[in-house]
Amino acid sequence: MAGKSMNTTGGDTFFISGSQFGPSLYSGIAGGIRVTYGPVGAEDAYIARVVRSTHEEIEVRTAPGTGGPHVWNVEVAGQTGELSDPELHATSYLSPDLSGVTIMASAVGGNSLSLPASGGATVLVDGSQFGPSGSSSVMAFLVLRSPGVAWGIDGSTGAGGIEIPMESCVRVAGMPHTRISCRSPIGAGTGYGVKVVIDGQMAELAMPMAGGGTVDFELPVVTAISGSGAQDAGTSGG
Amino acid sequence: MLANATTDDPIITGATIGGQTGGVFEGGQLSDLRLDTAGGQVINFYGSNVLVRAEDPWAVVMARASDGAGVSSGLNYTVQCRYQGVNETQLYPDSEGGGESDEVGEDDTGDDGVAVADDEDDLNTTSIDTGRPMGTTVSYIACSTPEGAGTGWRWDIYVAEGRNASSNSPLVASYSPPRPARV
Repeated sequence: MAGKSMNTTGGDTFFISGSQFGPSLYSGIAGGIRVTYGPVGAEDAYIARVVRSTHEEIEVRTAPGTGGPHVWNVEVAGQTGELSDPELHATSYLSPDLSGVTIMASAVGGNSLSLPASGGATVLVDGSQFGPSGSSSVMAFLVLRSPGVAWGIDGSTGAGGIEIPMESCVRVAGMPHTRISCRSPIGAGTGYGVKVVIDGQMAELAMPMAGGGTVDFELPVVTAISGSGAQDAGTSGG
Repeated sequence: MLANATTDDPIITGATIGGQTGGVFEGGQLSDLRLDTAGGQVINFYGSNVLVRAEDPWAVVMARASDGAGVSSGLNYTVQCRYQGVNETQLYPDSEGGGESDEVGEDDTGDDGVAVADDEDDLNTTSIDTGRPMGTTVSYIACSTPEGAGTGWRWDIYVAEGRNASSNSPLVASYSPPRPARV
């Protein structure tokens, strides 16, 4: 698959070559020329803006979007033509790319260096190619790739590590392509990276905190010990 | 005979374009033909009783039959066409008989050659009639297709005296659908 890439922000220039595209004036008529693309079975998911056309070539600008591969369709004056080998000429939006994570200490601001074990903190994930607002869902995870214990994603080996989904992830208004906001999950431990999955495309960053640190949950704090053994306990146990 | 020719309605009996023969109405429809969107193809309309005076303006008009397929209405073309395959055997003999074939503007009184348009005694007519003994060779109207796209383009063929040639098949053609090859 050739897999030409598109920016999730849209506006990329593509040329579709072929034949029987109609007179150039059709590119300026509503319904004259319509170029769409999308996953197989939903090829009209995105509408490309037709800039100009000839009988043999159509120049378009892509729409904001996510995912792939997307196959292309051309409709001229109500007649539709599919690419003879759609998968060969399929295109995909760029996969998300992560640059860092910020933990908000409170709703009013300030950063924190660790997550509360009880969850509920706001986590901002920064990067690029996250896609437009209102498009495909966003999933984010805290990942611990080397937990050092015999359990994990692929069963008893622990290989693949631990993935804890973060909650209520959304693109941040005004900067949807570059920032995601999530609620932290309940958890414990240190050494977490972050992983984002958008429309089937994945990105992972092992050391996402400023300065190259991992995401850590707050360390446990012992505030009191009570019970019969809390004081003057016997050396024989029990 | 000439009088009969003027009263017979012109009729289009078939059409071809390039190597396509779907427009021959025996077993086909004009809509079976696919025009190139770039235009410039020669489409041949076969007919009978096609009567024309050479000095009369005539035209084949191709117009969208409807607003179908979401394309704005108002698109139409006037296509200039010309007669093809016209030779002496296809022209009505001069009623006076004898003589050589006429040249345009020539007084052919007394001739027995073929009639050529604009002679007064020919009633300024030239007839192309494939169904008559003199017309043994198929004649046709050759038109260059305009650029366009979509389906439902109706051809209206006007011949002498503003008459609209009839057809036993709808003269509606379609352009080829788009054929994208690569992105």
